[in-house]
Amino acid sequence: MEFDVLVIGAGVAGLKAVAELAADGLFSLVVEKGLFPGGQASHLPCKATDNCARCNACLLEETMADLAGRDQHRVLYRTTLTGLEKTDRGLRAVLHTAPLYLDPDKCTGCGLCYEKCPARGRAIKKAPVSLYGPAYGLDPEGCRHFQDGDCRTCAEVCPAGAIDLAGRAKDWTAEVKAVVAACGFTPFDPAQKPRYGHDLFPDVISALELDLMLRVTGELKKPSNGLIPDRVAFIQCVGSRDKSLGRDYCSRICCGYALRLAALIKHRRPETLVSLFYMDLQNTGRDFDRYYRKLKGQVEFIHGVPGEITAGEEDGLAAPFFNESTGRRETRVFDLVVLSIGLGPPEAGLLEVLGLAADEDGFFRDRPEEGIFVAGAASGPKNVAESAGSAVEAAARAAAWVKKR
Amino acid sequence: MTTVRIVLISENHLVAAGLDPKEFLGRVSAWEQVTEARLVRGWTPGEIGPVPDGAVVVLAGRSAPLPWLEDRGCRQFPVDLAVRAAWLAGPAAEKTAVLIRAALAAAEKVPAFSRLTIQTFPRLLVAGVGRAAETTVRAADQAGLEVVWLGPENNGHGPGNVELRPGRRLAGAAGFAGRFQVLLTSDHGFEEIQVGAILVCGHEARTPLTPPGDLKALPLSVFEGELRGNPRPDWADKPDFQVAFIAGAGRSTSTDNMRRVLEAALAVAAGTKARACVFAAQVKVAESGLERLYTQARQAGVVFIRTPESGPVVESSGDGAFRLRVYDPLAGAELVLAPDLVVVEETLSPAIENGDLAAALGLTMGKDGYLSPDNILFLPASTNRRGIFALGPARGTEEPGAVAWEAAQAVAEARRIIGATEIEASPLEVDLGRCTLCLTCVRTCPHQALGFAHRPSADPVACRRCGLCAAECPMDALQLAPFTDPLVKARLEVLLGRPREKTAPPRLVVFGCRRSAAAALAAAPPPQAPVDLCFITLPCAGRIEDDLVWSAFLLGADGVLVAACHEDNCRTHRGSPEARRRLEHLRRLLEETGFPPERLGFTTTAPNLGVGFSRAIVEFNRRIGEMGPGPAAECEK
Repeated sequence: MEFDVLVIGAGVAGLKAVAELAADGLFSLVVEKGLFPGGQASHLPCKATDNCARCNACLLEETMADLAGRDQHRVLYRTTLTGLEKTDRGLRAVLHTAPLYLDPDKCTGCGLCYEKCPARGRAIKKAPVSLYGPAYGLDPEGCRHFQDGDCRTCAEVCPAGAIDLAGRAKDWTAEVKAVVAACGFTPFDPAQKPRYGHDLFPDVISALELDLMLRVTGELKKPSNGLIPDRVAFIQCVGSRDKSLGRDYCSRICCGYALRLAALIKHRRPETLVSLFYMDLQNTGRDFDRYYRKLKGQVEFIHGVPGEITAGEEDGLAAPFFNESTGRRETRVFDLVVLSIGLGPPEAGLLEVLGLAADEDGFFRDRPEEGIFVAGAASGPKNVAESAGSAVEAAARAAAWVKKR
Repeated sequence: MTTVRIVLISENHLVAAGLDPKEFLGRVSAWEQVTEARLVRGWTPGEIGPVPDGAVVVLAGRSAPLPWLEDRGCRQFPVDLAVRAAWLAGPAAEKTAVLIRAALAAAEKVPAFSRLTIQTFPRLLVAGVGRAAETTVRAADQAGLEVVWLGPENNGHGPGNVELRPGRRLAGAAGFAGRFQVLLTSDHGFEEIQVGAILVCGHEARTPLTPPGDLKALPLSVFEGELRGNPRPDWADKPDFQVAFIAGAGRSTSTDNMRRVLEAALAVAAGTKARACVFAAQVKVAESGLERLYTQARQAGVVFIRTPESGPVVESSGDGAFRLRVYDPLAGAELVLAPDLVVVEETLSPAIENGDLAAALGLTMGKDGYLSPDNILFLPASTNRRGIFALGPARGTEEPGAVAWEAAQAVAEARRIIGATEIEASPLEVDLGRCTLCLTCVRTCPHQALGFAHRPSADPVACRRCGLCAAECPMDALQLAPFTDPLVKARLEVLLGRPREKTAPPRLVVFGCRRSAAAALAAAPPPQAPVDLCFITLPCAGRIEDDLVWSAFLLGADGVLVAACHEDNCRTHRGSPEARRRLEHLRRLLEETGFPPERLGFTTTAPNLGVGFSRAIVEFNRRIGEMGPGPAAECEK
């Protein structure tokens, strides 16, 4: 296989890079380790109230709709880059594709397999965005066939013969001239902050889990009992600006997303009490100041973050904290606690494969002299729009590199 | 010449819908408009087989057109059978058939499209000074473009292919993307140049925070100059000298400004004998390396004092000395500081000439005074007018990283505009018999894409195909293919012409924006209760007009819902508010005639809001259901 550019990751940055490269007449090969395109942005809900909240989530759909009409690229799902060799013509990418089981080229998206799958959404999965890419995928992790070899329901009902449960892994190589590494970020695992009890209390959730809940169900409910929470807390800087965790940087986007989530909760149900614990509120974009001022009367902003979350009265969650505005120790009780988790660098393994250097925080740095360019949150925490923006630049540089050769 | 009309039907969809593919194919093949119908198992050229160039092709079971068919000049009508049928009432065979027939009815009315060749101007105009302009000029030069730079006076000449013309101001731009006639003014008079694209970078208009009272404060940039200057400032060797920085009083500091404050404070603390303290409501560290710089500054002895958002209280003792007071909650007391020098940050603000510039270039400004609306669909560097870009200080961007992305996008797009000489002709048709030359269309166009020479016409490159002009034309003289009135009405006639059972749910028509509502419907979970919804895709909700709403009601709709993008999230920027305004007007008209205005709904949605959109439709369905049959059913009675 021969392509102009290898794009790693089919998230918003990767797809944007592909669209830009295609507009310049270049062919890209995209490797995506997951079943579907979209990356992290495909888990985000629209946070608009009456007006657009500028959360940027829909820019993923924009990018996908843009790409759906173009065929100057190929995406390999469940595929990882295992090696990159320099050749006299450019670069040779060594790829490994895990068994696909469901052939996206044959699938017509009828949805029969999804309907009939006894694992109910854990084996046959529906794409989070239907505009682009395969409509369904098979995740062997939750599939009964791969537990006892018995169930063959999906393969039997598929009218297109797209499911092959005996699918095999594939190893191949591709000749490319440049690489755009859009491998995204790793969300902070809140288990690393055990005092917040994310793994202990069902109603302590990460902001990403709240995003997903809102995207999939459109509703805010307590995971423990399905009731609507009356008191919601956001705790900022979980896994950011925390030297003890070796994360000596601000994740940049958490204040923006937490404020927008808080605004959305207040908009949907104004009687909900929303508190936001912070260290310093961070700038995100042109309208941040106005947005923050509008929210100030609605959301309680508390300067200081709780040290821990414990079981509180009436099934609530108690958050003791030192209020830096009053100089007093206080405790508040909440029904739902949302941890605004930070963004970490992508898997370090890829650094070695690509021969890249990392910055002080572990994020990837370009290697322009070899034709390797980093796009999106892989080079540092970015929101959806910034990821897309940085991909435009990375693609332009990759295109210039390819044309020079 | 007879048009070849081919219907391609996804066999798997028919199977999934419980239909006999062969039998269904026979049925479709028998329709007189159909030249040929085929069952397909995929959408590759091999699966589909030969398709004559220029044919009209209905893709039944596909949501998007096929690029390779487009290359052959085929007019494509994709119908997402699974999505649309899920929202219609009736037996599967009828629903599938009616959806295909509606596409065919639309195909009847669509004009053939043509391509044309245009001449573009190869040069690119960059206006502005400072970091953003320099980045942009460099990016354009590296992309091999010829640049005219209305840049700084003292720079002699720019790099490579850059022609520097300082001292000129942009006074107007006639023409369209790829072919602008730009009017420049200078102290010596006027000149005109021809360029393919205009990149407005502006300059960094910074205003120092004005501290209250008669506090003598140094703007940060002046202080930075003093620090860098030679000889060293005389205070540098005074051990008791105290420099206080005020960051962000009354307004949020930007990370870019915070970096400058931190660097300056660190330079004072580490490089001089003087002491430094920073008054800030929030320490902005949302940029790579800033948290570390903050730590470094504290380690070097910089004292950080948290203030309320309004900043510290300033007291003057009359003899030029002053004190800064802040309540310190930790100490439970007021903290009073009498610094020898106060340095205030300077915030980026919109340049005062932005208003004139926007008027000269036909740009829609943001509410905040910058040269593009604060609309995420205009990111990174676009404006309402194709071929004109606003970046850096012109759109309120400070961070160097973001400026680089903006420059990359503007240059890449400008290059494509200049390179595109083979283009699709404008889809806008003007009926000269109806046009009264009122030029409402020219004024309405949000993209400045309509020109006027004997009659109005849309420029094929500048036109974004939103249809606002066609909707607003008081004479109905403009039609935008493939969303013309006759075409939309033909679809409605077929969809609403289905026989109807007494027990059927209310018949709804949803006019939805192609970008938001159509995508949201595709992502929406199918309804649990019975719904009978005919979805009509519009290029932008702003395309909706009274006429289409009346048609829907007259043809049998019980309720009509218009689904637009959220405000400030409309590709056209003005389309969604226009749609809302028109509907509100129409509702008032309906009310005056005694027709219940509740039958006409308006909602906003987004492409990723499937669940929410599904709920909005189900709720609308319930409300209309409670109201009983609509006006057409009443008339029949």
